[in-house]
Amino acid sequence: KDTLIVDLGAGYVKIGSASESEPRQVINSVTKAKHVKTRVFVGNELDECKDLSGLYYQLPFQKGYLLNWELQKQVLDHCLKPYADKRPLSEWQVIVTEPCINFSPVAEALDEVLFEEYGFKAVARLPAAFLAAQRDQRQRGVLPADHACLVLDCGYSFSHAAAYRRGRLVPGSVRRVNVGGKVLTNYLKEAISYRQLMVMDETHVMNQCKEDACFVSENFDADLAAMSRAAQRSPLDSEAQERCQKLCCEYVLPDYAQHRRGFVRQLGSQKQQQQEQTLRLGIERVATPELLFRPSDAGIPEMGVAEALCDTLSGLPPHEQPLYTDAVVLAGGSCRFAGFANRLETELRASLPDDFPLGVRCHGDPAAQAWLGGRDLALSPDGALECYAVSRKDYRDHGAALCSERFAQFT
Amino acid sequence: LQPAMVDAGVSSRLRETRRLVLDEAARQRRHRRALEALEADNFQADPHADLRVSKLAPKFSDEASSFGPSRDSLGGVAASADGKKSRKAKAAGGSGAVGTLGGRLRRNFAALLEEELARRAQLPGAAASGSTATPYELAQVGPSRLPPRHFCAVCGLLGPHTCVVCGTRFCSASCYSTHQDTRCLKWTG
Repeated sequence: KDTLIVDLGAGYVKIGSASESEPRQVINSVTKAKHVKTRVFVGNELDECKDLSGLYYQLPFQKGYLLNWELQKQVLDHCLKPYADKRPLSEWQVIVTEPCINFSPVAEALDEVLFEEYGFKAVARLPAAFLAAQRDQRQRGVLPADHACLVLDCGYSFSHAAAYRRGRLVPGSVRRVNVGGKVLTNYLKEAISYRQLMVMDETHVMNQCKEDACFVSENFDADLAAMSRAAQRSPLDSEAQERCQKLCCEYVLPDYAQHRRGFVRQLGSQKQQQQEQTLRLGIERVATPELLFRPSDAGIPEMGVAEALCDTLSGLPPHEQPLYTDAVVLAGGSCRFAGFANRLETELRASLPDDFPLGVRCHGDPAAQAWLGGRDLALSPDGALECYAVSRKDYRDHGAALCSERFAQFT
Repeated sequence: LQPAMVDAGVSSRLRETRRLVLDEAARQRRHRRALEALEADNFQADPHADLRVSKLAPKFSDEASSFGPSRDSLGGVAASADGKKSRKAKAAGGSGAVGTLGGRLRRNFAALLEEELARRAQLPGAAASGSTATPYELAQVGPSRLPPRHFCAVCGLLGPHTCVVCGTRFCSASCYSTHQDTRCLKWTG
Protein backbone atom coordinates (compact mmCIF):
# COMPACT_ATOMS: atom_id res chain seq x y z
CA LYS A 1 0.00 0.00 0.00
CA ASP A 2 1.13 3.56 -0.50
CA THR A 3 1.69 4.37 3.12
CA LEU A 4 4.73 6.09 4.53
CA ILE A 5 5.57 5.68 8.17
CA VAL A 6 7.58 8.54 9.63
CA ASP A 7 8.66 8.13 13.24
CA LEU A 8 9.68 11.74 13.93
CA GLY A 9 12.11 11.66 16.78
CA ALA A 10 14.23 14.34 18.40
CA GLY A 11 17.36 12.32 17.72
CA TYR A 12 16.55 10.39 14.57
CA VAL A 13 13.77 10.18 12.00
CA LYS A 14 12.87 6.58 11.27
CA ILE A 15 11.28 6.54 7.84
CA GLY A 16 10.14 3.94 5.39
CA SER A 17 7.24 2.85 3.26
CA ALA A 18 4.93 0.05 4.33
CA SER A 19 6.47 -2.15 1.65
CA GLU A 20 9.89 -2.00 3.31
CA SER A 21 10.81 -4.30 6.15
CA GLU A 22 12.75 -1.85 8.25
CA PRO A 23 13.10 1.92 8.48
CA ARG A 24 15.97 4.14 7.44
CA GLN A 25 17.41 6.00 10.40
CA VAL A 26 18.13 9.60 9.51
CA ILE A 27 19.72 11.91 12.03
CA ASN A 28 17.21 14.68 12.69
CA SER A 29 19.61 17.57 12.49
CA VAL A 30 21.03 20.12 10.10
CA THR A 31 24.64 19.81 11.06
CA LYS A 32 27.54 22.20 10.68
CA ALA A 33 31.10 20.96 10.43
CA LYS A 34 33.98 22.92 11.85
CA HIS A 35 36.12 22.85 8.72
CA VAL A 36 33.46 22.90 6.05
CA LYS A 37 32.14 26.45 5.79
CA THR A 38 30.47 26.22 2.40
CA ARG A 39 27.60 23.98 3.32
CA VAL A 40 25.58 22.37 6.03
CA PHE A 41 24.68 18.70 6.16
CA VAL A 42 20.99 17.89 6.20
CA GLY A 43 20.19 14.62 7.90
CA ASN A 44 22.32 11.75 6.64
CA GLU A 45 24.25 13.99 4.25
CA LEU A 46 26.58 13.87 7.22
CA ASP A 47 27.92 10.64 5.71
CA GLU A 48 29.52 12.81 3.03
CA CYS A 49 31.42 14.81 5.59
CA LYS A 50 35.05 13.74 5.83
CA ASP A 51 35.89 15.07 9.26
CA LEU A 52 33.27 14.41 11.91
CA SER A 53 35.05 16.20 14.75
CA GLY A 54 33.60 19.29 16.41
CA LEU A 55 30.18 18.93 14.79
CA TYR A 56 27.53 21.53 15.63
CA TYR A 57 23.97 20.29 15.62
CA GLN A 58 20.92 22.32 14.77
CA LEU A 59 17.98 20.29 15.97
CA PRO A 60 14.34 21.04 15.05
CA PHE A 61 13.32 19.55 18.38
CA GLN A 62 13.66 21.22 21.74
CA LYS A 63 13.17 19.26 24.97
CA GLY A 64 11.48 16.57 22.91
CA TYR A 65 9.01 18.80 21.04
CA LEU A 66 9.10 19.83 17.39
CA LEU A 67 9.41 23.60 17.45
CA ASN A 68 11.57 24.60 14.51
CA TRP A 69 9.91 23.86 11.19
CA GLU A 70 12.56 25.68 9.17
CA LEU A 71 15.01 22.99 10.17
CA GLN A 72 12.50 20.15 10.17
CA LYS A 73 11.39 20.91 6.60
CA GLN A 74 14.94 20.57 5.41
CA VAL A 75 15.38 17.19 7.06
CA LEU A 76 11.95 15.93 6.00
CA ASP A 77 12.45 17.05 2.39
CA HIS A 78 15.71 15.14 2.39
CA CYS A 79 14.03 12.01 3.83
CA LEU A 80 10.97 12.16 1.60
CA LYS A 81 12.76 12.78 -1.66
CA PRO A 82 13.24 9.10 -2.63
CA TYR A 83 9.55 8.45 -2.04
CA ALA A 84 8.32 11.63 -3.72
CA ASP A 85 10.39 10.66 -6.74
CA LYS A 86 8.58 7.35 -7.05
CA ARG A 87 5.11 8.81 -6.73
CA PRO A 88 3.98 12.33 -5.90
CA LEU A 89 3.35 12.84 -2.20
CA SER A 90 -0.31 13.57 -2.88
CA GLU A 91 -0.71 9.86 -3.59
CA TRP A 92 0.82 8.73 -0.32
CA GLN A 93 -0.83 8.49 3.03
CA VAL A 94 1.40 8.98 6.04
CA ILE A 95 1.58 7.79 9.63
CA VAL A 96 3.58 10.27 11.65
CA THR A 97 4.52 10.07 15.33
CA GLU A 98 4.28 12.53 18.17
CA PRO A 99 5.32 12.32 21.83
CA CYS A 100 3.07 10.65 24.42
CA ILE A 101 1.89 14.02 25.61
CA ASN A 102 1.74 16.72 23.03
CA PHE A 103 0.90 20.42 22.90
CA SER A 104 -1.85 21.58 20.57
CA PRO A 105 0.22 24.21 18.73
CA VAL A 106 2.85 21.57 17.98
CA ALA A 107 0.26 19.02 16.85
CA GLU A 108 -1.62 21.53 14.71
CA ALA A 109 1.56 22.73 13.08
CA LEU A 110 2.48 19.16 12.16
CA ASP A 111 -0.97 18.52 10.66
CA GLU A 112 -0.84 21.76 8.73
CA VAL A 113 2.57 21.08 7.23
CA LEU A 114 1.67 17.54 6.26
CA PHE A 115 -1.60 18.48 4.58
CA GLU A 116 -0.85 21.91 3.18
CA GLU A 117 2.88 21.96 2.47
CA TYR A 118 3.38 18.35 1.48
CA GLY A 119 -0.18 17.57 0.44
CA PHE A 120 -0.42 14.01 1.66
CA LYS A 121 -3.56 12.09 0.75
CA ALA A 122 -4.25 11.16 4.38
CA VAL A 123 -2.52 11.65 7.71
CA ALA A 124 -2.55 9.67 10.94
CA ARG A 125 -0.73 11.42 13.78
CA LEU A 126 -0.20 8.88 16.56
CA PRO A 127 2.05 8.65 19.61
CA ALA A 128 5.13 6.49 19.17
CA ALA A 129 4.31 4.58 22.36
CA PHE A 130 0.85 3.85 20.97
CA LEU A 131 2.42 2.33 17.86
CA ALA A 132 4.76 0.25 20.00
CA ALA A 133 1.70 -1.07 21.85
CA GLN A 134 0.09 -1.91 18.51
CA ARG A 135 3.25 -3.74 17.51
CA ASP A 136 3.17 -5.77 20.70
CA GLN A 137 -0.47 -6.68 20.25
CA ARG A 138 0.01 -7.90 16.69
CA GLN A 139 3.34 -9.64 17.30
CA ARG A 140 1.93 -11.69 20.15
CA GLY A 141 -1.32 -12.29 18.33
CA VAL A 142 -3.42 -10.99 21.21
CA LEU A 143 -6.96 -9.91 20.37
CA PRO A 144 -7.36 -6.14 20.57
CA ALA A 145 -10.08 -6.47 23.17
CA ASP A 146 -7.83 -8.54 25.44
CA HIS A 147 -4.68 -6.53 25.01
CA ALA A 148 -2.99 -4.74 27.88
CA CYS A 149 0.60 -3.60 28.10
CA LEU A 150 3.03 -1.15 29.61
CA VAL A 151 5.22 0.67 27.13
CA LEU A 152 8.64 2.02 28.05
CA ASP A 153 9.82 4.41 25.34
CA CYS A 154 13.36 5.65 25.98
CA GLY A 155 14.26 8.26 23.41
CA TYR A 156 16.68 11.09 22.90
CA SER A 157 15.07 13.73 25.09
CA PHE A 158 13.21 11.75 27.70
CA SER A 159 11.70 8.38 28.58
CA HIS A 160 8.03 7.66 28.98
CA ALA A 161 6.19 4.89 30.76
CA ALA A 162 2.56 4.47 29.71
CA ALA A 163 -0.21 1.89 29.98
CA TYR A 164 -2.31 0.79 27.01
CA ARG A 165 -5.53 -1.15 27.26
CA ARG A 166 -7.59 -2.39 24.34
CA GLY A 167 -5.61 -0.22 21.95
CA ARG A 168 -6.03 3.00 23.90
CA LEU A 169 -3.91 4.91 26.33
CA VAL A 170 -5.09 4.59 29.91
CA PRO A 171 -5.70 8.23 30.88
CA GLY A 172 -3.36 9.55 33.54
CA SER A 173 -0.96 6.64 33.20
CA VAL A 174 1.88 8.48 31.47
CA ARG A 175 5.07 9.10 33.46
CA ARG A 176 8.01 11.04 32.07
CA VAL A 177 11.62 10.72 33.18
CA ASN A 178 13.79 13.49 31.77
CA VAL A 179 16.68 11.20 30.95
CA GLY A 180 17.33 10.13 27.38
CA GLY A 181 20.15 9.55 24.92
CA LYS A 182 21.11 13.21 25.02
CA VAL A 183 21.65 13.29 28.78
CA LEU A 184 23.59 10.01 28.65
CA THR A 185 25.94 11.29 25.96
CA ASN A 186 26.48 14.57 27.81
CA TYR A 187 27.18 12.71 31.03
CA LEU A 188 29.79 10.59 29.29
CA LYS A 189 31.33 13.66 27.66
CA GLU A 190 31.65 15.36 31.02
CA ALA A 191 33.12 12.34 32.74
CA ILE A 192 35.75 11.84 30.04
CA SER A 193 36.49 15.59 29.77
CA TYR A 194 36.95 15.84 33.49
CA ARG A 195 39.12 12.76 33.82
CA GLN A 196 41.03 12.25 30.59
CA LEU A 197 40.58 14.28 27.45
CA MET A 198 38.53 17.35 26.57
CA VAL A 199 35.72 16.01 24.41
CA MET A 200 32.91 18.43 25.20
CA ASP A 201 32.79 19.55 21.55
CA GLU A 202 32.79 16.01 20.21
CA THR A 203 29.15 15.08 20.69
CA HIS A 204 29.06 12.91 17.59
CA VAL A 205 32.13 10.90 18.49
CA MET A 206 31.14 10.45 22.13
CA ASN A 207 27.66 9.44 21.11
CA GLN A 208 29.19 6.67 19.05
CA CYS A 209 31.45 5.80 21.97
CA LYS A 210 28.38 5.49 24.16
CA GLU A 211 26.72 3.20 21.62
CA ASP A 212 29.84 1.10 21.15
CA ALA A 213 31.20 0.79 24.66
CA CYS A 214 28.40 1.26 27.17
CA PHE A 215 26.13 -1.40 28.52
CA VAL A 216 23.76 -1.85 31.44
CA SER A 217 25.18 -3.62 34.43
CA GLU A 218 23.08 -6.31 36.03
CA ASN A 219 24.52 -5.25 39.40
CA PHE A 220 26.03 -1.78 39.39
CA ASP A 221 26.89 -1.74 43.08
CA ALA A 222 28.93 -4.92 42.68
CA ASP A 223 30.77 -3.40 39.72
CA LEU A 224 31.53 -0.29 41.80
CA ALA A 225 32.77 -2.38 44.70
CA ALA A 226 35.01 -4.50 42.45
CA MET A 227 36.51 -1.46 40.72
CA SER A 228 37.06 0.28 44.07
CA ARG A 229 38.93 -2.69 45.45
CA ALA A 230 41.04 -2.89 42.31
CA ALA A 231 41.83 0.83 42.61
CA GLN A 232 42.99 0.31 46.18
CA ARG A 233 45.09 -2.63 45.01
CA SER A 234 43.27 -4.94 47.41
CA PRO A 235 43.10 -8.64 46.53
CA LEU A 236 40.13 -9.49 44.32
CA ASP A 237 38.11 -12.66 44.33
CA SER A 238 37.39 -14.29 40.97
CA GLU A 239 33.98 -12.65 40.57
CA ALA A 240 35.38 -9.17 41.22
CA GLN A 241 38.22 -9.85 38.81
CA GLU A 242 35.77 -10.88 36.11
CA ARG A 243 33.81 -7.68 36.62
CA CYS A 244 36.89 -5.52 36.35
CA GLN A 245 38.07 -7.32 33.25
CA LYS A 246 34.69 -6.90 31.65
CA LEU A 247 34.66 -3.19 32.37
CA CYS A 248 38.18 -2.00 31.67
CA CYS A 249 38.93 -1.44 28.04
CA GLU A 250 40.35 1.03 25.56
CA TYR A 251 38.29 3.03 23.11
CA VAL A 252 40.25 3.99 20.02
CA LEU A 253 39.01 7.34 18.73
CA PRO A 254 38.44 7.83 15.00
CA ASP A 255 41.10 9.68 13.05
CA TYR A 256 39.01 10.09 9.87
CA ALA A 257 41.96 8.90 7.81
CA GLN A 258 41.78 5.18 8.48
CA HIS A 259 38.79 4.95 10.81
CA ARG A 260 35.57 6.91 10.60
CA ARG A 261 34.24 5.42 13.78
CA GLY A 262 35.91 4.55 17.03
CA PHE A 263 36.03 1.05 18.41
CA VAL A 264 36.47 -0.83 21.65
CA ARG A 265 39.73 -2.68 22.18
CA GLN A 266 40.68 -5.01 24.99
CA LEU A 267 43.51 -3.79 27.16
CA GLY A 268 46.94 -4.93 26.14
CA SER A 269 45.76 -6.61 22.97
CA GLN A 270 47.60 -4.19 20.74
CA LYS A 271 50.29 -1.65 21.34
CA GLN A 272 49.12 1.89 20.81
CA GLN A 273 49.86 3.07 17.29
CA GLN A 274 51.59 6.39 16.86
CA GLN A 275 48.77 8.54 15.60
CA GLU A 276 46.13 6.94 17.77
CA GLN A 277 44.14 8.67 20.45
CA THR A 278 42.59 6.33 22.96
CA LEU A 279 40.37 6.61 25.98
CA ARG A 280 40.62 4.37 29.02
CA LEU A 281 37.13 3.32 29.94
CA GLY A 282 36.11 1.61 33.12
CA ILE A 283 33.19 2.34 35.38
CA GLU A 284 31.90 4.90 32.85
CA ARG A 285 30.77 2.08 30.60
CA VAL A 286 28.06 1.10 33.06
CA ALA A 287 27.67 4.36 34.99
CA THR A 288 26.35 6.14 31.90
CA PRO A 289 23.34 3.93 31.10
CA GLU A 290 22.82 3.57 34.86
CA LEU A 291 21.33 7.07 34.71
CA LEU A 292 18.24 5.61 33.10
CA PHE A 293 17.65 3.61 36.24
CA ARG A 294 19.04 6.14 38.74
CA PRO A 295 18.89 9.74 37.47
CA SER A 296 19.91 10.81 40.97
CA ASP A 297 23.43 9.58 40.14
CA ALA A 298 23.79 12.76 38.09
CA GLY A 299 21.91 14.88 40.58
CA ILE A 300 18.63 14.73 38.63
CA PRO A 301 15.92 14.55 41.30
CA GLU A 302 13.75 11.98 39.54
CA MET A 303 12.99 8.31 39.77
CA GLY A 304 14.37 5.95 37.15
CA VAL A 305 12.52 4.10 34.40
CA ALA A 306 11.84 1.00 36.47
CA GLU A 307 10.34 3.04 39.30
CA ALA A 308 8.37 5.06 36.76
CA LEU A 309 6.85 1.88 35.35
CA CYS A 310 5.86 0.85 38.87
CA ASP A 311 4.39 4.30 39.41
CA THR A 312 2.28 3.92 36.28
CA LEU A 313 1.21 0.49 37.42
CA SER A 314 0.16 1.70 40.85
CA GLY A 315 -2.38 3.98 39.22
CA LEU A 316 -4.10 1.06 37.48
CA PRO A 317 -6.94 -1.03 38.96
CA PRO A 318 -5.30 -3.61 41.28
CA HIS A 319 -7.09 -6.62 39.82
CA GLU A 320 -5.87 -5.70 36.33
CA GLN A 321 -2.27 -4.96 37.19
CA PRO A 322 -0.98 -8.51 36.46
CA LEU A 323 -2.29 -8.15 32.89
CA TYR A 324 -0.02 -5.19 32.35
CA THR A 325 3.11 -6.57 33.95
CA ASP A 326 2.96 -9.56 31.65
CA ALA A 327 3.79 -7.24 28.76
CA VAL A 328 6.36 -4.52 29.38
CA VAL A 329 7.20 -3.39 25.88
CA LEU A 330 10.56 -1.81 25.13
CA ALA A 331 10.79 0.93 22.54
CA GLY A 332 13.19 3.72 21.69
CA GLY A 333 16.88 3.91 20.89
CA SER A 334 18.03 4.23 24.49
CA CYS A 335 16.69 0.76 25.23
CA ARG A 336 19.28 -0.68 22.85
CA PHE A 337 22.01 -1.03 25.48
CA ALA A 338 23.15 -4.59 26.03
CA GLY A 339 21.74 -5.87 29.30
CA PHE A 340 18.88 -3.38 29.39
CA ALA A 341 16.04 -5.88 29.27
CA ASN A 342 17.72 -8.10 31.83
CA ARG A 343 18.27 -5.28 34.28
CA LEU A 344 14.74 -3.95 33.85
CA GLU A 345 13.39 -7.39 34.57
CA THR A 346 15.49 -7.71 37.72
CA GLU A 347 14.41 -4.31 39.00
CA LEU A 348 10.74 -4.88 38.24
CA ARG A 349 10.74 -8.39 39.64
CA ALA A 350 12.07 -7.02 42.91
CA SER A 351 9.32 -4.41 43.10
CA LEU A 352 6.33 -6.49 42.08
CA PRO A 353 4.36 -9.02 44.12
CA ASP A 354 5.72 -12.44 43.27
CA ASP A 355 2.41 -13.76 42.01
CA PHE A 356 2.40 -11.15 39.21
CA PRO A 357 3.63 -12.50 35.88
CA LEU A 358 6.45 -10.41 34.45
CA GLY A 359 7.31 -10.32 30.78
CA VAL A 360 9.72 -7.75 29.31
CA ARG A 361 8.99 -7.83 25.58
CA CYS A 362 11.38 -6.75 22.93
CA HIS A 363 10.16 -7.46 19.41
CA GLY A 364 13.39 -6.62 17.62
CA ASP A 365 15.37 -3.37 17.55
CA PRO A 366 13.79 -1.07 20.17
CA ALA A 367 14.49 2.00 18.05
CA ALA A 368 12.35 0.58 15.26
CA GLN A 369 9.40 -0.61 17.35
CA ALA A 370 7.23 2.47 16.84
CA TRP A 371 7.95 2.39 13.10
CA LEU A 372 7.22 -1.32 12.90
CA GLY A 373 3.99 -0.76 14.81
CA GLY A 374 3.02 1.84 12.24
CA ARG A 375 3.86 -0.57 9.47
CA ASP A 376 1.82 -3.36 11.11
CA LEU A 377 -1.06 -0.93 11.35
CA ALA A 378 -0.73 0.07 7.70
CA LEU A 379 -0.58 -3.52 6.49
CA SER A 380 -3.21 -4.89 8.84
CA PRO A 381 -5.81 -6.77 6.83
CA ASP A 382 -8.71 -5.41 8.87
CA GLY A 383 -8.03 -1.90 7.55
CA ALA A 384 -7.43 -0.60 11.07
CA LEU A 385 -5.59 2.44 9.74
CA GLU A 386 -8.82 3.82 8.31
CA CYS A 387 -10.27 4.72 11.68
CA TYR A 388 -7.11 6.63 12.69
CA ALA A 389 -6.44 8.53 9.50
CA VAL A 390 -7.82 11.87 8.38
CA SER A 391 -8.05 12.43 4.63
CA ARG A 392 -6.98 15.63 2.94
CA LYS A 393 -10.54 16.25 1.85
CA ASP A 394 -11.81 15.98 5.42
CA TYR A 395 -9.04 18.27 6.59
CA ARG A 396 -10.05 20.89 4.03
CA ASP A 397 -13.71 20.60 4.91
CA HIS A 398 -13.51 20.38 8.68
CA GLY A 399 -10.14 21.89 9.48
CA ALA A 400 -7.75 21.30 12.30
CA ALA A 401 -10.49 20.62 14.85
CA LEU A 402 -11.26 17.29 13.21
CA CYS A 403 -7.67 16.21 13.53
CA SER A 404 -7.44 16.96 17.22
CA GLU A 405 -10.67 15.08 17.78
CA ARG A 406 -9.82 12.07 15.64
CA PHE A 407 -6.29 11.61 16.90
CA ALA A 408 -6.95 12.50 20.51
CA GLN A 409 -9.30 9.64 21.13
CA PHE A 410 -6.43 7.18 20.97
CA THR A 411 -3.81 9.16 22.83
CA LEU B 1 38.93 42.83 56.58
CA GLN B 2 36.06 42.06 58.89
CA PRO B 3 37.10 41.55 62.49
CA ALA B 4 36.13 37.88 62.47
CA MET B 5 38.44 37.22 59.57
CA VAL B 6 41.56 38.58 61.21
CA ASP B 7 43.30 35.73 62.88
CA ALA B 8 46.59 36.35 64.50
CA GLY B 9 48.92 33.47 64.00
CA VAL B 10 47.07 32.00 61.00
CA SER B 11 48.83 32.19 57.66
CA SER B 12 47.28 34.47 55.05
CA ARG B 13 47.09 31.61 52.58
CA LEU B 14 44.70 29.75 54.86
CA ARG B 15 42.68 32.89 55.42
CA GLU B 16 42.29 33.25 51.69
CA THR B 17 41.06 29.70 51.35
CA ARG B 18 38.48 30.22 54.04
CA ARG B 19 37.13 33.24 52.21
CA LEU B 20 36.47 31.16 49.14
CA VAL B 21 34.17 28.57 50.71
CA LEU B 22 31.02 28.31 48.64
CA ASP B 23 27.81 28.65 50.56
CA GLU B 24 24.72 26.56 49.96
CA ALA B 25 23.20 29.04 47.52
CA ALA B 26 26.30 29.08 45.36
CA ARG B 27 26.46 25.30 45.40
CA GLN B 28 22.82 25.10 44.31
CA ARG B 29 23.56 27.51 41.47
CA ARG B 30 26.47 25.37 40.32
CA HIS B 31 24.31 22.27 40.55
CA ARG B 32 21.56 23.87 38.47
CA ARG B 33 24.06 24.94 35.86
CA ALA B 34 25.45 21.42 35.75
CA LEU B 35 21.95 20.04 35.18
CA GLU B 36 21.31 22.55 32.41
CA ALA B 37 24.58 21.54 30.80
CA LEU B 38 23.35 17.94 30.74
CA GLU B 39 20.38 19.09 28.67
CA ALA B 40 22.40 21.02 26.10
CA ASP B 41 22.41 19.98 22.46
CA ASN B 42 25.73 21.65 21.75
CA PHE B 43 28.56 22.62 24.02
CA GLN B 44 30.41 24.91 21.67
CA ALA B 45 29.23 27.97 19.80
CA ASP B 46 28.14 27.97 16.18
CA PRO B 47 31.31 27.45 14.07
CA HIS B 48 29.77 29.31 11.14
CA ALA B 49 28.68 32.32 13.14
CA ASP B 50 31.33 34.53 11.64
CA LEU B 51 30.34 33.91 8.02
CA ARG B 52 29.38 36.99 6.09
CA VAL B 53 26.57 36.91 3.56
CA SER B 54 28.03 37.79 0.18
CA LYS B 55 26.36 40.83 -1.39
CA LEU B 56 26.62 39.12 -4.74
CA ALA B 57 24.57 36.10 -3.70
CA PRO B 58 21.14 35.99 -5.37
CA LYS B 59 18.39 37.04 -3.00
CA PHE B 60 15.36 34.86 -2.49
CA SER B 61 12.06 36.40 -1.63
CA ASP B 62 11.11 35.92 1.99
CA GLU B 63 7.43 35.41 1.20
CA ALA B 64 7.75 32.64 -1.33
CA SER B 65 7.50 29.35 0.45
CA SER B 66 10.27 27.19 -0.91
CA PHE B 67 8.49 23.97 -0.07
CA GLY B 68 5.12 24.23 -1.74
CA PRO B 69 3.83 21.16 -3.57
CA SER B 70 3.69 23.20 -6.78
CA ARG B 71 7.45 23.11 -7.19
CA ASP B 72 8.88 20.41 -9.42
CA SER B 73 11.60 19.29 -7.11
CA LEU B 74 11.28 19.12 -3.40
CA GLY B 75 12.86 22.43 -2.53
CA GLY B 76 14.86 23.23 0.49
CA VAL B 77 17.52 20.56 0.34
CA ALA B 78 20.66 22.41 1.28
CA ALA B 79 22.64 21.68 -1.84
CA SER B 80 23.23 24.90 -3.75
CA ALA B 81 25.87 27.13 -2.29
CA ASP B 82 24.11 30.32 -3.37
CA GLY B 83 20.88 29.43 -1.74
CA LYS B 84 22.82 28.43 1.32
CA LYS B 85 24.07 31.86 2.29
CA SER B 86 20.83 33.69 2.00
CA ARG B 87 18.99 30.90 3.75
CA LYS B 88 21.54 31.14 6.54
CA ALA B 89 20.93 34.86 6.66
CA LYS B 90 17.22 34.19 6.83
CA ALA B 91 17.67 31.62 9.53
CA ALA B 92 20.00 33.90 11.43
CA GLY B 93 17.51 36.72 11.07
CA GLY B 94 14.85 34.66 12.82
CA SER B 95 11.25 34.16 11.74
CA GLY B 96 10.78 32.52 8.37
CA ALA B 97 7.18 32.02 7.37
CA VAL B 98 7.48 28.25 7.60
CA GLY B 99 9.59 28.29 10.75
CA THR B 100 6.91 29.49 13.11
CA LEU B 101 3.96 28.76 10.83
CA GLY B 102 2.55 32.24 10.95
CA GLY B 103 3.73 32.88 14.49
CA ARG B 104 1.60 30.12 15.98
CA LEU B 105 4.49 28.00 17.15
CA ARG B 106 6.59 29.38 19.95
CA ARG B 107 10.32 29.50 19.24
CA ASN B 108 11.29 27.93 22.51
CA PHE B 109 9.93 25.32 24.83
CA ALA B 110 9.54 27.52 27.90
CA ALA B 111 7.21 29.81 25.95
CA LEU B 112 5.24 26.79 24.71
CA LEU B 113 4.68 25.58 28.24
CA GLU B 114 3.72 29.04 29.49
CA GLU B 115 1.20 29.39 26.72
CA GLU B 116 -0.31 26.02 27.54
CA LEU B 117 -0.66 27.00 31.21
CA ALA B 118 -2.34 30.25 30.24
CA ARG B 119 -4.68 28.43 27.92
CA ARG B 120 -5.70 26.00 30.64
CA ALA B 121 -6.31 28.79 33.12
CA GLN B 122 -8.81 30.30 30.75
CA LEU B 123 -10.80 27.12 30.25
CA PRO B 124 -14.30 27.31 31.77
CA GLY B 125 -13.79 24.53 34.34
CA ALA B 126 -10.39 25.73 35.52
CA ALA B 127 -11.35 28.00 38.39
CA ALA B 128 -13.90 25.50 39.68
CA SER B 129 -11.61 22.46 39.68
CA GLY B 130 -8.79 24.46 41.20
CA SER B 131 -6.17 22.48 39.31
CA THR B 132 -4.60 24.05 36.25
CA ALA B 133 -1.83 21.54 35.88
CA THR B 134 -1.19 20.50 32.30
CA PRO B 135 -0.88 16.82 31.35
CA TYR B 136 2.77 17.59 30.67
CA GLU B 137 3.39 18.61 34.26
CA LEU B 138 1.28 15.80 35.68
CA ALA B 139 3.33 13.24 33.80
CA GLN B 140 6.54 14.43 35.40
CA VAL B 141 7.81 11.75 37.76
CA GLY B 142 8.64 12.60 41.33
CA PRO B 143 11.90 11.96 43.12
CA SER B 144 13.17 8.45 43.62
CA ARG B 145 12.44 6.57 46.82
CA LEU B 146 16.02 5.35 46.83
CA PRO B 147 18.75 7.45 48.43
CA PRO B 148 21.08 9.12 45.92
CA ARG B 149 24.57 7.77 45.34
CA HIS B 150 27.53 10.10 45.17
CA PHE B 151 30.57 9.55 42.98
CA CYS B 152 34.13 10.76 43.18
CA ALA B 153 34.54 13.52 40.61
CA VAL B 154 38.09 12.43 39.82
CA CYS B 155 37.80 8.68 39.34
CA GLY B 156 34.07 7.96 39.12
CA LEU B 157 33.93 5.42 41.91
CA LEU B 158 31.96 5.92 45.12
CA GLY B 159 32.67 9.29 46.72
CA PRO B 160 31.72 9.40 50.37
CA HIS B 161 33.76 12.50 51.22
CA THR B 162 33.03 16.12 50.34
CA CYS B 163 35.43 18.93 49.53
CA VAL B 164 35.01 21.64 52.14
CA VAL B 165 35.48 24.45 49.67
CA CYS B 166 33.26 23.54 46.76
CA GLY B 167 31.23 20.51 47.76
CA THR B 168 32.59 18.12 45.12
CA ARG B 169 32.83 14.48 46.15
CA PHE B 170 35.98 12.44 46.33
CA CYS B 171 36.86 8.93 47.38
CA SER B 172 40.37 9.03 48.78
CA ALA B 173 43.20 11.32 49.77
CA SER B 174 44.92 10.88 46.40
CA CYS B 175 41.80 11.87 44.45
CA TYR B 176 41.33 14.81 46.82
CA SER B 177 44.82 16.11 46.19
CA THR B 178 44.22 15.81 42.41
CA HIS B 179 41.03 17.77 42.94
CA GLN B 180 42.76 20.48 44.91
CA ASP B 181 45.67 20.77 42.50
CA THR B 182 43.73 21.20 39.34
CA ARG B 183 40.01 21.43 39.61
CA CYS B 184 38.68 22.90 42.80
CA LEU B 185 36.45 25.85 41.81
CA LYS B 186 37.93 25.87 38.31
CA TRP B 187 35.71 23.31 36.67
CA THR B 188 32.34 24.80 35.94
CA GLY B 189 31.20 22.24 33.38
